[in-house]
Amino acid sequence: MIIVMPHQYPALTTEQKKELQEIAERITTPGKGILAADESTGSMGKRLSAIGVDNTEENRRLYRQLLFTADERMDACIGGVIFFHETLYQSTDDGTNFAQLIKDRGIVVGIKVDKGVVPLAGTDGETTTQGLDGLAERCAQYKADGADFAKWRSVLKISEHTPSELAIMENANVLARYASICQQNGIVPIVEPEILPDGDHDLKRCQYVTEKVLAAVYKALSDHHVYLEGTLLKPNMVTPGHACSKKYTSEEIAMATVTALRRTVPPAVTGVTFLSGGQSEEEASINLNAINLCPLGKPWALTFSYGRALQASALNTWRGERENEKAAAEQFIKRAELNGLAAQGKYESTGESGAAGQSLYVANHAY
Amino acid sequence: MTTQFPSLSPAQKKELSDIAQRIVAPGKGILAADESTGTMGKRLEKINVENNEENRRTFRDLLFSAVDANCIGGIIFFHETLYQKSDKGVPFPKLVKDKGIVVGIKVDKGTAGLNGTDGETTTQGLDGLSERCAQYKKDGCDFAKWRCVLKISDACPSALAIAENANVLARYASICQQNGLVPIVEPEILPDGTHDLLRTQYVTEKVLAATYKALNDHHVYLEGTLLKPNMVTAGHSCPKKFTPQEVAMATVTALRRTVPAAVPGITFLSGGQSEEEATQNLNAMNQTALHRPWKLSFSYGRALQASALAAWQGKASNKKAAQDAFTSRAKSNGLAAKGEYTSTAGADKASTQSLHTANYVY
Repeated sequence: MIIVMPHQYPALTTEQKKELQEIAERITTPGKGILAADESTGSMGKRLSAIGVDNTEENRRLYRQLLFTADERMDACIGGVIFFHETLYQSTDDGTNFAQLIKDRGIVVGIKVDKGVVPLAGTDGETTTQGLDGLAERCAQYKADGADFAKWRSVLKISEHTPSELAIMENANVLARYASICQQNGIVPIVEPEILPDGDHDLKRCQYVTEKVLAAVYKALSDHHVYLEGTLLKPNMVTPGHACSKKYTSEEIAMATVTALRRTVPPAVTGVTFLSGGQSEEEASINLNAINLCPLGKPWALTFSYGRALQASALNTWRGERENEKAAAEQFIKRAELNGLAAQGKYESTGESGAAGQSLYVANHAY
Repeated sequence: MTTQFPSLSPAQKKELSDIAQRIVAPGKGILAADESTGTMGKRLEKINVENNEENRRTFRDLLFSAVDANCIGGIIFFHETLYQKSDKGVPFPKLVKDKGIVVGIKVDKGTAGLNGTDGETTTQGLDGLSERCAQYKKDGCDFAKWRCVLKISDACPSALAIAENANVLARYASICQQNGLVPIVEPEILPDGTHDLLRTQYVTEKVLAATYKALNDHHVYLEGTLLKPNMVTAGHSCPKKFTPQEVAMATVTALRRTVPAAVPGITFLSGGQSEEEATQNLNAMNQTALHRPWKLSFSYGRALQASALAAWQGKASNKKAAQDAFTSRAKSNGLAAKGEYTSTAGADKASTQSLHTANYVY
């Protein structure tokens, strides 16, 4: 057995900690969230084929350009943009590097650094995530190229026998290693332990699993001496599985989500930026709003890090045509603004919520 | 297996949560009056009073008759005391409960050596704990307390000590909740040693992270628990001195990094601190600029009783003076639990405030 000497060999200087915390706070300034524009080439291919557009480097550049050149309304509700590697080195039509463009707008530049999932042998199709090799050098380079935060996605799934102990432990560990390496290079790590919504499990099951996964994640972060104030968490909301026959209100989703976070995410974590998973644009906004209205103490910022939930309408409007760019950007800005409001509990959807919705919050000891 | 086999019903959870909230209601804390017979002997010896059952009863009667429910939310009893009565023949639990104060009971059976370590310990008391808790609940208790002990030295606390104590605390907590008792979880890191503030903070963070992982593994309902940790202070023999603001900042930082917001309250132990020190430090914590989602209050033994014991000297004629001393300390700590304490020793706010350093230094 390893004898642990509980001596501190400080991982970060005071200056490094200060820088990391300030970056994290800037990204999650009240009313702001993250545009996850880090779709890999393959993922982007799926989005583009759905609107009949060829998956070429130029089309990917044109599409990201229309988002990044959206007007100043974007600056009030987007605190950070996550880039894919290729995009970080692309430029606008007039030659302005995208990262520089975003940075000059006062928005923090982020970069996806994982290298995708790989199988965990001996499990029921579970995975871990790779990308640690040479990560320190890559982070240093990304920092020099304008990035101040990074993102790494681990994936877990709920079924009768999953997530397994191994999957939970291995993904928590690899997330903690990634986070530790990022911080050494002045990069705020967004920690993303996504639990997929696939399945027929109910809200309670998802909440239970989320609590177990997050407890393991934060134990691993502590073991790896990660400075929590200089991190962000990007979790799934607690929702029923896609194939669950029972329906839940946004207030129930909010209560289950906030309860799970309160039981596992230390107050020192600067912000929680939810992934949208398979949710529609409207759903993702309504749920985020309900989360911010949940009557339980919430010591961290609760905002968005949305990909599809910010871009679906924009993509549909653009359809690869230059003359649709302005209209497409308008769709994006609209979703960004609505989510900015949702991040403050001020979103009023055309659907339910508002005063009527509030009465649906059930006391949390039912969770 | 990530399937839930619910350990508590919603009604059980609500009861536990309500009890915990009552104990740490704003401005309230805990009187730790659970000194074992042996420990009570040490206290009484200091004031030349014989350590017999009657004297122990008399002293607790002195405290419980005077205790003010405005600043004391809960009292921890030792087993013997739970079955003793006041001068007027009222059972102590009833006396206390009728004042609106929650009754608690120490349930651990002391420390036991961890072989192969440098004098480290775990705590025993799990055998038959469920049955004991059920009985204590019937006899008027609504919360329990279990103390684990760790120490800081070159090789301590070891991984084993941290893991074993975290595990035993989680087992205890789980059993308590099954029997309607709110468990106070106490992983005390002793202040003995020459280590500085940062070392204590580091160790405290590691210990608390392990504690909350264990509580999660054991499916403990956090909203129905309380934490009783040490404040983060330098070792007793550390040559460098730190202000209450530095102690507060280091402590609150450590807690923010490890204690989930679902925990309703943190009731500090006073350890070897003087009454005034314990109050000032608690007050500074409640004035820290960092956001604190849990109540920060006290669970003091010596820091509430030292003056009372000294005033009493075992003499009935000193009873009122002793009660006044106790009441005064209780009130001061009640204010400190709200960050509203101003010490008569008058360290002026301005001079101490300038020592405030941002939390990324910690």
